[in-house]
Amino acid sequence: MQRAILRIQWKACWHLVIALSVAAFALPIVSVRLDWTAGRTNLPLFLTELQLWGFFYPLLAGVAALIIAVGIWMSDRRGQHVYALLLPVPRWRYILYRYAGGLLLLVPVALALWAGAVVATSGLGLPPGIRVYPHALAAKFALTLLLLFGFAFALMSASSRTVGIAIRILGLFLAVHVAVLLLSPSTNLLWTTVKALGTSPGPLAPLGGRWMLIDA
Amino acid sequence: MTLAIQTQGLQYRASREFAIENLSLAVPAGALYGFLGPNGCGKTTTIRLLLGRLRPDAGTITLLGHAIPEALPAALARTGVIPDRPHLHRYLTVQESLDFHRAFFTEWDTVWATELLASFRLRPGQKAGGLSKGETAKLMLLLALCQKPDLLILDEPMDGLDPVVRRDVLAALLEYVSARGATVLVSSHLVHELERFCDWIGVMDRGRLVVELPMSEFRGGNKRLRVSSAQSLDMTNAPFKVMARDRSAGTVETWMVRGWLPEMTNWFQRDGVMLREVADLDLEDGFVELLRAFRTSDT
Repeated sequence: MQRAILRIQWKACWHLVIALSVAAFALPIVSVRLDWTAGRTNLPLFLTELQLWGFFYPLLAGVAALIIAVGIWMSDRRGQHVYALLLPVPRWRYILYRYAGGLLLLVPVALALWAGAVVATSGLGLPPGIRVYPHALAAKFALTLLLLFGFAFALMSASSRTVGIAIRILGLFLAVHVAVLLLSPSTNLLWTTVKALGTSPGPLAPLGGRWMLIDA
Repeated sequence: MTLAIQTQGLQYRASREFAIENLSLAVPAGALYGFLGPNGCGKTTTIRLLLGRLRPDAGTITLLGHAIPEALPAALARTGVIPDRPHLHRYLTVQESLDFHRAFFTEWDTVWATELLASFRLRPGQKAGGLSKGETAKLMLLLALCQKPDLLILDEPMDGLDPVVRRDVLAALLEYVSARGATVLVSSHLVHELERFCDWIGVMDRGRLVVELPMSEFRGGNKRLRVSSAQSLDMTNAPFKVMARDRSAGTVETWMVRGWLPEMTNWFQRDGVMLREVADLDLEDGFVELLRAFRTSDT
């Protein structure tokens, strides 16, 4: 049963997995190689530019998580999940298998980024005091993928009604935020919430921080 | 009588305007049960409730002895379903669809699946998304049959199919049912479609069950009577139910009645009343008059 689920998910997403893996492999290589020629003579500039590239890692993780979640659930959503609901499997188990299958599809993407990071940082001949972090960056990327895939999977596997409820709650929150802002301009509910979610121990903390492949 | 499907006091409010009300179905095991009703009467909602896709507000559902929704997976393992609209993964080929479906059913019959593929003229390599409406219907029936279910729930399976495909689908269905002794609940708004092969019938209207009885009783008990000089008749003690009474032809009235038996002719032999003709009402007329009578009594 797990294999059958994995097989249909692979069939739905294999081209996406390959494209995302290529992007993940290329990202660290491109980021380092493009800047390294200038970086030999101006190390601070090189590190600054590399830091700017850091923005693309969580972005790629987000795009990959969303695309794979959409890819594996698109057909079910089109059929209003009827097929899944008619299968003789407890729903929690079916969802778990689908989730595990989705995670497996993300493994090549995470591995590709790790391989790209290793390739990008090998043989650079860096000056003393400068270190490379291919494994740490790849681990952070994998963790971010895991986290964001959880969100995207939950969103895509939910019924339209549940998604509607989530959107209404979000809309209500934004309305409250605007109302509070009008009454008390110094109170920014939205920013406070984003900060709480995005900094440790918030669930989105891995997205923040520095995404440095090479650092002092 | 063993029941394959049983609901008791089922209630479900779908919207402000529509609700399933106090629905008590009893589908005997081994029956070919036609679930009849006009569009929007609640057939599909009832089927969704039976299959655990909707949670009832009140009442109980039992499928093959399994309480729904508590034992839904066990019931679905023995139930083949054709839902109201195609639900297959469009990017899979026919063969991949079979392989995927097979993985969930332990009794899957591979040999028969191959035979049905050939007899339905379905190509294994063809994408499910590229199948015609008739081919999709055949594939859905193939999937439902080859899992060897004890119960088949088919929601308007023939809707929009051409006569040839309809015949193929029906033949495969009847072949399976006669070999396995399975129960079939098939919904439709087309009376003639069900008349051909159902032995039980349940009629629904406005979220309620109007009648549920063997097809022979439904067919045999519905008559069109032509009665003359009936104005003076006291109808309160009539041994049958008058569904409709047409007085437009002067002294000769046309009645549509239910529950008719031959000995009831005696009831007319008084006060100069004459029963001129007793004719069978075909199923469609019976259905229409039944609904008309139900709606009249309802308002």
